[in-house]
Formats: sequence, C-alpha cells, structure tokens
Amino acid sequence: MEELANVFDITGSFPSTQHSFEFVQAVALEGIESIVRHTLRSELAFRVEVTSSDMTLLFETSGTKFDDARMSNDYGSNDACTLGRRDRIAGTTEVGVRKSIGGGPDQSRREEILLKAKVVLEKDVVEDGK
Amino acid sequence: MKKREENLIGRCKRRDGQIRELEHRIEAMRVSHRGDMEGKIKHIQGAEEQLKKTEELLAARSEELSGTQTFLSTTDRLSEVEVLSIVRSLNESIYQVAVKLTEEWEKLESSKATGQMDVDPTSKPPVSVLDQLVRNRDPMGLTLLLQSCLCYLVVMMTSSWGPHQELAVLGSIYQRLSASGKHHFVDAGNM
Repeated sequence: MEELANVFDITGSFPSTQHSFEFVQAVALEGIESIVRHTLRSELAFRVEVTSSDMTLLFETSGTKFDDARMSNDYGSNDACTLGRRDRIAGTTEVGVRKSIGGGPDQSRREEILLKAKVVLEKDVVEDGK
Repeated sequence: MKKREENLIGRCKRRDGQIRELEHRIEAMRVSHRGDMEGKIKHIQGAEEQLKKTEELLAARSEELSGTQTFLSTTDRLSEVEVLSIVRSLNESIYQVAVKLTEEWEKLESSKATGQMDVDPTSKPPVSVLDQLVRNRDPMGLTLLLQSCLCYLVVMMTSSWGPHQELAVLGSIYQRLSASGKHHFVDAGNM
C-alpha cells in the first residue's frame, strides 16, 4: 500500500504520504486483499498444480521497447508504421504468463508466452512534442 | 472349667497371632502391589510419550511425503486454460482496485474548493510518462500508473516466494522428471 500511497503523493492531493496511505487503505483495502488472494492462487497453480513446466508472471518495465512477441497494446494502434517512433512502453497494465519447458542436462530450455503482458505505449498517452 | 477357659485363651492368642501375621502379609502384599502399580504406570506413561512422539514423527513424515509426491506427480492438475483464467482474474482485480482508487480520488478532487496542490509534486523530476501524466492530474494516467504499480507489486510478491536454495532437492527431482520426459500435460478438453 505504501507504493500506491507514493503514487498519490505525485498528484499533490494529500498533505503527506501518511494521508495518501490512509486514503488508499480506506478505499482499497478489500481490493488489495483480493489481489493478494489471486496472486497466491496463481502461485499455487504455477508451483504445485502445474509441474510439467515452469510458469511465471510476465511484467514489462517502463521504457522497454515494445515487443509484439511478449506484449499486447490494447490502448492504441499496433500498426507497424506507427510503431517505431515512440514505441517504448509507459507501463504494464495487465501481467502476462510465460512458460518454460526443458532445461535438463541434455535439453535446451524452451520458452513460450501463454498470455502477453498488456502494456500502454508512451505514444498513446503523450501527444507529440510533449 | 478353668482348663477350658485356658484353652480358649490359648486359642484366642493363637488366632490373634495368625491375624497379625495375615495383616503383615496383607501389608507386604499391598506395598508390593503399589510398587508394581507405580512401575506399570511409569511404563504406560513412557509408552504413551513414545507413542505421541511416533505419531508426531509420522505426521511430519506424512506431510513431507505428501509434499514430495506433489512434485513427483507427472500429471498437471490444471490445464493452461484454467491457469490463464486465474491470471485473468488477477488482472481484473488489479483493474478494479485502480479504477476504484481513481474514482474516489476524482471525487476528492472535485470536492476541493480550489485546484491548489497541498504539496508541490514538481519537487522531484518525473520518472516516467505516466508519472508526468499523474503530476498533471490526469485520471487516465493515474489509473494506468496504479495498474502498472500493482502489476509490479504482484510480480515482486511472486518473485519473493520463488524457489531458493533450500528447494534444490525438489529442483533436482524436477530436472530428472523433465529429462525423463514423463510429464503429461493436461488437455483442456479432458478437464
């Protein structure tokens, strides 16, 4: 919750981080608990219920160049001609899932993207020149 | 008459002697029995403690075995479709929290008499495009930054629960299973 409070600090709407923290706690405590429950559920699936492969959540850091193989952009156009100018990602809005198979002594590790991370591109949220 | 009386007294004395002797024997037997009982009680207590320890050990070993069998299982218990459904629910809960926080923040902002900022957000340089949008009090930028922040936290949470050195044994078992090719994938259609 501290990290979320830090986001609200940026808005300048609260006199202190403590006020931001209290706002987040009052509004989203149940929702955050739900996120933690879903995260635990996904970890149970990845580590216990699926043993034939290694599965991990996929997250892209801001500033990374858009890669269609791992990411999907539902906020703007994926048109190839528009990509390339400001095709760096501004943030990840939905986590994806990566699956790895193999990796034994005589096996090479193979990776597969089961669910692309949903990202928003800089060009889609900032107008040119800004 | 006197002789009969003496005989009776003599018999009484002998009976008294027999009674005392019996009382001594009974006392001796009682002491012996008490000793036996104490010994048996100690033995039973020792056996009970041993049983308790054995049961605890059995429970611990059963739990370990159950955990190991989980990793020795060569059949996935969930299909990819089911796993993705779990992750989509996670993404949905992230979105819901981000939207709710943004809506409540907007209500708070609109209730303010002036647009004056309580603290100066420009005191630190922006670290990202979304950061800049949030400084400009853009609700969409706020939702996106909150989503991004929550996604990052979720991934950090799962990384911290990831395999460590103590799971090296399970890792080696997994490697052997992978190498043997005995894993069976669950087909969504079979679930």
